[in-house]
Amino acid sequence: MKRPMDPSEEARRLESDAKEEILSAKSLEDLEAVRVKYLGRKGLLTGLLRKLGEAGPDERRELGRFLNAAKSALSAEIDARKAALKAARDEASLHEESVDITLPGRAREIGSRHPTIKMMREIMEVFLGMGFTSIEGPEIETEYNNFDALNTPEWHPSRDEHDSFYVADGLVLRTHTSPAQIRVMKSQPAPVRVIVPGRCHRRDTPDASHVISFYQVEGLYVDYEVSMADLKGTLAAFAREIFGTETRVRFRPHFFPFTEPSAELDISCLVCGGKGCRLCKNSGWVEVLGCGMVHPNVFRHAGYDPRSVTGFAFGMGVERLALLKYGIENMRVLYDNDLRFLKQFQGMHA
Amino acid sequence: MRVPFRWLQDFVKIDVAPEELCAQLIMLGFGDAEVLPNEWEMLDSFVAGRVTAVEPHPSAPDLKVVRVNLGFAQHTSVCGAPNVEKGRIYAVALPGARLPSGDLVEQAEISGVPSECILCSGWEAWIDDSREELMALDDNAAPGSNLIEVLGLDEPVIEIEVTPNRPDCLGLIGIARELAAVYGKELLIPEPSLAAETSEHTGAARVEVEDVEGCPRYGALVCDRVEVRRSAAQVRARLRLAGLRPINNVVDATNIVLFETGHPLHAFDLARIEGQTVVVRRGRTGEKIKAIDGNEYELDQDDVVIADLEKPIAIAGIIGGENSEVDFSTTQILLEGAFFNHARIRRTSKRLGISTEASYRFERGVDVGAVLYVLARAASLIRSTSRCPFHAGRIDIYPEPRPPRRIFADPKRINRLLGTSIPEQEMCDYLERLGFLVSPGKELEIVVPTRRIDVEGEADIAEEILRLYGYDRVSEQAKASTRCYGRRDGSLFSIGRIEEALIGMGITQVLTDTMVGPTSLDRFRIGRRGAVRVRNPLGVETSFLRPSMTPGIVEVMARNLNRGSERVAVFEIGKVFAAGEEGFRERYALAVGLCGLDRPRSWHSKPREVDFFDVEGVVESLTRLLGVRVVFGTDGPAGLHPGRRATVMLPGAGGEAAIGHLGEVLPAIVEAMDIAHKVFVAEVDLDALMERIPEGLRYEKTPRFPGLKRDLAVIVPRSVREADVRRIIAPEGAPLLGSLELFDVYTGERIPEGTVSLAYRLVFQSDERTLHEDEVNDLQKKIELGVAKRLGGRLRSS
Ligand SMILES: [Zn+2]
Repeated sequence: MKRPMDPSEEARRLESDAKEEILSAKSLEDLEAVRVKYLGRKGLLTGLLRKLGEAGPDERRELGRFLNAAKSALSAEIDARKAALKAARDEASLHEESVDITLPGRAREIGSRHPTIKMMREIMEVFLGMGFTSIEGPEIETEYNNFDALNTPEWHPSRDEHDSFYVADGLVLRTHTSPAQIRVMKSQPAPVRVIVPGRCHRRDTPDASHVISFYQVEGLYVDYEVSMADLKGTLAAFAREIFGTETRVRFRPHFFPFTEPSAELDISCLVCGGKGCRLCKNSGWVEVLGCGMVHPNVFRHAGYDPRSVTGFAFGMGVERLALLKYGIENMRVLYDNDLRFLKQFQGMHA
Repeated sequence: MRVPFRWLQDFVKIDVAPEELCAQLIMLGFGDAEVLPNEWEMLDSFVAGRVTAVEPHPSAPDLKVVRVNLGFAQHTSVCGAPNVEKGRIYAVALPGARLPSGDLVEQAEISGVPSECILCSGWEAWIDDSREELMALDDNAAPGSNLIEVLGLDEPVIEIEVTPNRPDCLGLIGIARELAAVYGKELLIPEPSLAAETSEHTGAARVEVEDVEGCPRYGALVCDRVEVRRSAAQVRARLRLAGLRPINNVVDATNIVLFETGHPLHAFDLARIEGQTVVVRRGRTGEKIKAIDGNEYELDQDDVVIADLEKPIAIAGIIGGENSEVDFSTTQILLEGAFFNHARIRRTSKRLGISTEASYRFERGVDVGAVLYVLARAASLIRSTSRCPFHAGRIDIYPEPRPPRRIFADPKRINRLLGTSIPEQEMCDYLERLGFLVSPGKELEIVVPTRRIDVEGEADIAEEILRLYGYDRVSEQAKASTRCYGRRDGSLFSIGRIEEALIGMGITQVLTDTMVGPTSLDRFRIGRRGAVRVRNPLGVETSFLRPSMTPGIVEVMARNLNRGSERVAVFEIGKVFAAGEEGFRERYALAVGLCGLDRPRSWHSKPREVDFFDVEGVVESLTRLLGVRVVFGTDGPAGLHPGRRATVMLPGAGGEAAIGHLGEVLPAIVEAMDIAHKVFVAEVDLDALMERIPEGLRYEKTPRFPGLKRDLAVIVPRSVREADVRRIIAPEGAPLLGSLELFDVYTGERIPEGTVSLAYRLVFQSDERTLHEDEVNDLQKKIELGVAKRLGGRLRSS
């Protein structure tokens, strides 16, 4: 009879074989096979455990302890190897799943705001921040509100059928949004701090700097002690906010029937910075808006007492500002409505 | 207004460059001021030449052979002018010079005599239209010197934009006064030498002013033994610098005075005035006058007319008549210096379509106080050009003298208005420099010169002070007022949100014309009856205020498709107008236009052509944003496809109110506009939508118990509308039916012809408990039954 192998020796050999095979398993499947081979129900190590009953009591205890230790050691080895193999496999499959991230995404189409309206909204925002509320007036306005109440002299050319559109006796397409001054002052007592954005119409022949229908933002601030210094402070801050903090501003006298004293606000030329160029006709300055202290006659027409309140008003052409700000040379481009042009104003850049 | 720089210096001596003067004028309140480029390059080859010998032409009796000293050379010229005189200096055109006729001067042989240059008339020298005689130059001009310099045409000319409130600056003296004030210089006003010796007219000439309203003041000087001839060359050149046309010494004198003082004058040939009587009266209906511009004008009763005993001889303040024009045979003149009603002059000038240097000034307002001065000044100029003395007799009809305006102004209040602290004395000084008379007191009492018709009150005084003090010296301050703050409300605010939402949907904002024409209205089958008509349109195609933005937005689409766009999605927000019985109505409207592909071409999905449901969807999303419920009705305007259009309606207590429409533009319209795609538009009354934006948002609890989902497919005849199906399912499923979602619409082989299958996902939900399958099954049965019974439909077995 062949002398049987020492069970403990056999166990030791099994353990070391198993460890080697675990480490050399190249895939989860290989590893599973190794597990089945040693630890499965019919595995080699399981077999030895099952045969424990055949050994003597002393031997059984010792061998049993050894086999159980080996079993849990191998299980741990398998788990560790399994984790390593799984990680490797995951990594490989992630690699396989990679996409060409330079392909364009499924972007949602975004439209754009018309540059005139974009400019108008920017203007509104600046004045909103300074305490001005936006209000509106009708485009068909009474001749009284559009001209008379604003102290427009009877001879003023803007009243002319040649310069303004009429739709009925006494009804004109507003030539500026200023008549809303009268409407707001008639509807409430001072203080009033409003801007009036809106479309206006003048009977001009369209050219590079005129269109028939254009947008204007009018402003009015009336209170018990509003001065020319307030006007300058407000409008200079506005100009710097819209055109940049380095912008220099200048106020010079001008004439408007509805303000006295009146002024024109110029900014340092955005193209040449003041040195002189084609845009500024070599003066270094470009005109931005008209303004002035509300004429006492306007207060009288609106039912305010010019001896007790003062105020300033201003008005600006939105298109003109858009042209300056975006460097557009011809105003008609704005109203050609070419999508290739309009889409350029998609961004948020101020 | 053109301002010759050296001429201006006659009235104020300011030693600065013309460009600097322009900058100063702009800071004084002139609209614009710039130095014009020199306009006289064509005179480069013209020089002064002294005639040293005049001999008869050997073969042509009308011609003379003239020797001319040009300084650098002696030339021979063959000349036909009657006034060529030995020893005198004339303008000479050298070979290479171009004449106004277009001809180039070259050496030539005239009837056998070589001619090396041309002695020029005023016309040939580009100065005026005198062709009959040579233009003699000043005797001191150096032969050979360039004509531009001899005539002073190298003088810089400044073009100044005078604001309409300052007619007093429509003359050199007015501008000089401003400059003198700001530079602290003396204003030099020429004293007419004739002023003292002009006396009351005692002769036969008479003036009667019948129309005092039209002519508050009429002054005249009657001058005898006047010699009418061409003015000196320098005077003629100067007039050209000012942009005026030289005529003769009398007319030129009136023009010079107009140009210097801004006050127009007119000269009549007294011999041609019937009865030597000037009558200032209203025009008579049917009356006609042939003016010196060669045109005949018909007068009416609103016109101020200068007439004699028989006929009109001038349209007052605008233009003179041919029948009383001064010419070279005139010996006795009546100089008119008047003050006419500016509104009347303006109306006549507008009605007759004549604008002259005179009307331009009279309609803005001239200085009533300057009448006698300008007359004397003109007479004095005329006399200086006459060789013999003449007498001038004065007539002045001024029934209601207008005293200068007096204004009281409070320096404290002015400083408060301006935000300055200018001392009272400084204010007085500024005003006095501008010619105001100031008396101190509790308030300043200020006498306003009659020329300053624009200065009416304290605010005007404040501006005068500020102009000289300097706008730049006012500080920049900004008071924050807590009594009024910026509010985000009103339609503009809501419109801003709507714009942003539409932009987020990939739609681009456009702005189209407010004014439209019959062609586009007819094309879109929009009636003109309710449209607002512009009384004075620029053209017939802009003669209505748009009643709808659809035509405009479709035109924008057509243009972009033409330029190669494959996908056009645009919107416009603006006013539309309607004429009704209660007058005009203007409302904010929104128009959306979709055409072409629904999205850009891409590698991941195939774009398709947009359809009805795209445009409908835009309206649905938008109304969701506004929180306003709308329903769609099966109707719409004639410009939309009858099978693919809908009315947008607001449900309300009194029924549904239509607020717009959407759909496919009629294919015939689209074809006529050369568009190769289907075009979809929506247009809604935005004001109506915005009025419905709900206020006071309160939240609703989200369901605590799980809902039961059921999918349900209904087959109904195709004549049944989906909304009808929903309208049955919803009440049948109530109150447990929480939501109802249409997820499929099928027509095809798998169902009978003439039917459509609609698939819904229903979610049943209760606030109080978890629902049982059974009760949901019962509800589903009820729904099935309802659909079958009322719509002839059945459930599709899945
Ligand atoms: Zn520049």
